[in-house]
Amino acid sequence: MRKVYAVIVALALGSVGALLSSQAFTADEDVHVAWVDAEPGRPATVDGQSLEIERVTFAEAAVQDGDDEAEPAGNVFLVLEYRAWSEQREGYLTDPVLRTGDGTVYTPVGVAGATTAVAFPAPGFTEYGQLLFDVHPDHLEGAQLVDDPSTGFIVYEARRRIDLRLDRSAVRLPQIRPEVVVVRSRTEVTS
Amino acid sequence: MRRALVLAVTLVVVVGLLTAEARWQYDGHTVLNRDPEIPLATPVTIGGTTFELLDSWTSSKPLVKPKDKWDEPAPPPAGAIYLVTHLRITDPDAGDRSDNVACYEQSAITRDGKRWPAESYVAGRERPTICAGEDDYPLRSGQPHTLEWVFVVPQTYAKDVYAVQAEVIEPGQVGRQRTFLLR
Repeated sequence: MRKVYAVIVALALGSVGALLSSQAFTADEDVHVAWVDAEPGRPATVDGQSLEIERVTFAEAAVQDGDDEAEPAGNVFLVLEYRAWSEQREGYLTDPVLRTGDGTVYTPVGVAGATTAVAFPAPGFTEYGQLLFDVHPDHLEGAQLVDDPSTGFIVYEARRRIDLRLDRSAVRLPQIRPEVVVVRSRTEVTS
Repeated sequence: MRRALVLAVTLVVVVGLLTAEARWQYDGHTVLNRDPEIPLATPVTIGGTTFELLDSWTSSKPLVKPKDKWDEPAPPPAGAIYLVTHLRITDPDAGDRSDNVACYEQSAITRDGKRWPAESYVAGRERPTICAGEDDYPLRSGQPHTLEWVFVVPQTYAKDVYAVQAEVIEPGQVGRQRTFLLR
């Protein structure tokens, strides 16, 4: 009889473990994650929600649209102009990060009113915005924008990974603009 | 031993079904979708509380009342329209309850699963856009309580929107998703 109970307990624990592990995957780097790969000009889509990097540029400073005073970068600003949309329903905000080839992780900076999160609006709308990262040029080789759509309640076992096609020469002068004008994210009807 | 196996398999199946159900509900479905759709202007009583979708209309102009002084007129975004609906709730026992009827997660929906959430604020509108039971808009026993839900929908899809869906919390029960037809 003890064996019987042992089997039941083991299976029950296994079931609970399996449930919990599906959440652990999102916290654990690269384990059981299905990567949705893309590059600038091509959308990365998870569950009908798409993120596309339209333009990659660099700037020494950022100034808010309508403002006079520019905020200088610690090193250099990597500016990603993006658009985001959904096929079926409004998505949750995501917090993308920049991961470079040597493992350095940058989070977006909110200077000059820049957004640090991406919104996926309801069907027929598209959000346009800019993400700024204050990056060290020597750490940029192989940089990818990584975006995890999971939230505290909804867990996806897929993440977006957009290869920015950067190498060290990408940030050599004179490709760096003196400043970038940061415009507030906007949502437009696109279909 | 056989009994234990049966129990264990049952347990695994139940856990699996619960997980699938959670995901399915997030995708906009619910086992409660089998509830009949509620026609426009047809009162339906749920758990002692009566719900009725009074009207629905669209506008491409700002939703501002003539006497509004403080709000700037706000038209819908270019290429979109406002879809305006009014829901009336009557609860004969509201005053006796500690848990009020509440609604949340209102969406305008199409048959192919597209959905647009209700706006939490629209310039110039004074009606409560969230559901009853909040401090500002308490339900009173037997008194009709009218809510306004406004959706911003691209013109392209406006003709496909056929209903609004609302999660209705019935006193003492879990939320139920109700589908109110717009026409």
